[in-house]
Amino acid sequence: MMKSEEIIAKLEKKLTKFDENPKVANVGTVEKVNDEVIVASGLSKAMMGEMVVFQDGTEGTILNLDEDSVSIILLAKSSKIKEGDTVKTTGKLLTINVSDEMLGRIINPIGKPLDGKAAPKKGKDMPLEKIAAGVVERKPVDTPVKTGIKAIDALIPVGRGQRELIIGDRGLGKTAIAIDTIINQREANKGGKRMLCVYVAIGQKQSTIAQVVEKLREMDALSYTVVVSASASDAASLLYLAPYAGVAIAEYFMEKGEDVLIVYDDLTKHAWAYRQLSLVLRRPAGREAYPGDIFYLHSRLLERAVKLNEENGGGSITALPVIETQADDLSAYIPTNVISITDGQIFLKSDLFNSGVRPAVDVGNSVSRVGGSAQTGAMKSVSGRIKLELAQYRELAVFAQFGSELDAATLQQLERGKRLTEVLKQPQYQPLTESMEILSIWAVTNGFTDDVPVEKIQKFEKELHAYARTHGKKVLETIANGKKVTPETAEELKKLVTAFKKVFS
Amino acid sequence: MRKKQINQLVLASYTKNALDDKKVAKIANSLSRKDLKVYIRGLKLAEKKKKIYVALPSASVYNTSKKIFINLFPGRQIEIEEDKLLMLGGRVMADDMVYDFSLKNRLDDFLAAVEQNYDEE
Repeated sequence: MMKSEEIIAKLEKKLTKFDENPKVANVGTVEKVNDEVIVASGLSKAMMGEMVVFQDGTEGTILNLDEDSVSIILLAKSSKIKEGDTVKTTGKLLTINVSDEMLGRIINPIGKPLDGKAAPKKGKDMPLEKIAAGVVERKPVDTPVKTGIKAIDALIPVGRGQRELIIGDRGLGKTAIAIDTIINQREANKGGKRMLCVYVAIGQKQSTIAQVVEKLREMDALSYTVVVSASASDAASLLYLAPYAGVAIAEYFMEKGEDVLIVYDDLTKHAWAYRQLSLVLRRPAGREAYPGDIFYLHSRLLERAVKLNEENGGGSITALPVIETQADDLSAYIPTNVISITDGQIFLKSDLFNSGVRPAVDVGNSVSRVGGSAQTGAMKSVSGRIKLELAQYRELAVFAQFGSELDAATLQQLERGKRLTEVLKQPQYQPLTESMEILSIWAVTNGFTDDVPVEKIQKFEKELHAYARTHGKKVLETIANGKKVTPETAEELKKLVTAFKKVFS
Repeated sequence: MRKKQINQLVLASYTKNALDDKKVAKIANSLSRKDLKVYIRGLKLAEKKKKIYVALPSASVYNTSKKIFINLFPGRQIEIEEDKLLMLGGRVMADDMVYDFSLKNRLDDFLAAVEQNYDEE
């Protein structure tokens, strides 16, 4: 706590800064109250995105500047605002106050705590709207984000600073992938540079958000996570601002050189909220009634995901936006927009989910455009084969459906494919370390599971991991350092798996 | 009717810088309900632009202050009102701009600065 003398000295210093000129304010009068949008006349000097204050103290931000009126969205619910009320500009653009104390907290998009605890300590005001870092400040993606999910780390790797979309129908486990990734950072943070997380819940049920928060708390992941919540019952303006508030928080930590992972769950509802506001603001409606700048809405947000070079602190923001599709339709307006903005997508398919493949990642339609260069040497050396073998399996599986006679080599490829598909299955909230992922994939791609029945593959994997923890510490450490799997390491892995197979029943 | 045309009607409603009731009645009779609303709003705005509102803490300085403001805003009507809460100084409202040089405003600013810089303990 500050001493009384210090406080007074600081105030006296502040007093000297007050100039003699009168304070000039620009005022207006409320003309119309339309749902959550207020139309006010006057305010001739107002700026786009400027914060305004109504006479009852409610804050708002300017979203439209017309010839003789401005449209304002409210930042809090207020039923007191009526026609004729005064509103004045503040000269400030919309900001959120961020400090280190925000870690582990649940806040709303304007920084008010929602977890019943005291407001976080005052920190730095971060602008919600900001031009993304330029080319000179950036560096190519070269460090992996370890999700702890085999299918993703091996086939669709994500790098720090990347924007990887998670897309699929409702109830297929999109949030589960994002949450697993956050949970896995607890283990990943023990080794290398730590990764902080921001989870932005947009338009979700309060009960769903509560479940996510509880899970994060239970898994001890809340200590390095900030949850920004704008639930379905909140005003559309808050839903619209939530992802920008999230990225402003992420930028605060990134400026300190930290790596940050931000999850936008989900941008479909964000687009809905913006559509609602735009229609009330009487902006011309385009395809699916979305306004013309809906692409810019998401591109300016996702462009703020960045990997900064060392001269600029070396921090990064990795974005995992979530998009919900209808009946696996990737060609709808918002999905195609966000697919084209991001550096790849993880596509979850309902057919796979219903046939028991969980996470239901459709490897054929999923892609990571920059993550490959961020993958560790060890993972790269085992994942190259799995991609090829899975592709061959998918081709052959189509022919096999006709029931024609197949030669031994084809049959073997089919059997291997089944085991590969099986080993990529993974229960929720059980992310794996990279060495365990490599061990599982290596064992399958090198034929060690060819004689294990498909239905026993998961048991085999689980017991292999337990065996390796006690009998293969050295080889696990070798592959954990990230270097390419050498013939010597492969030999050690072979010895380990062979020894395990002898005890596996 | 377009907004620009209604604005021209608003300007035409004045004779020698004062609102002409005959002209206003004539224009109002020829307008639809929707246009009439815009016309009234335009008249209100025009009237507001003609006036300068000055708030002062004490009635004793009315006359001396009025002269100052007539010189500062020539051709505009000065409306002076008393607001004891201002304590010292005054507040001038011209169109949608408010120039506040009252003691109350200074103290409010000071309070805001304190609240912004120090957390509630």
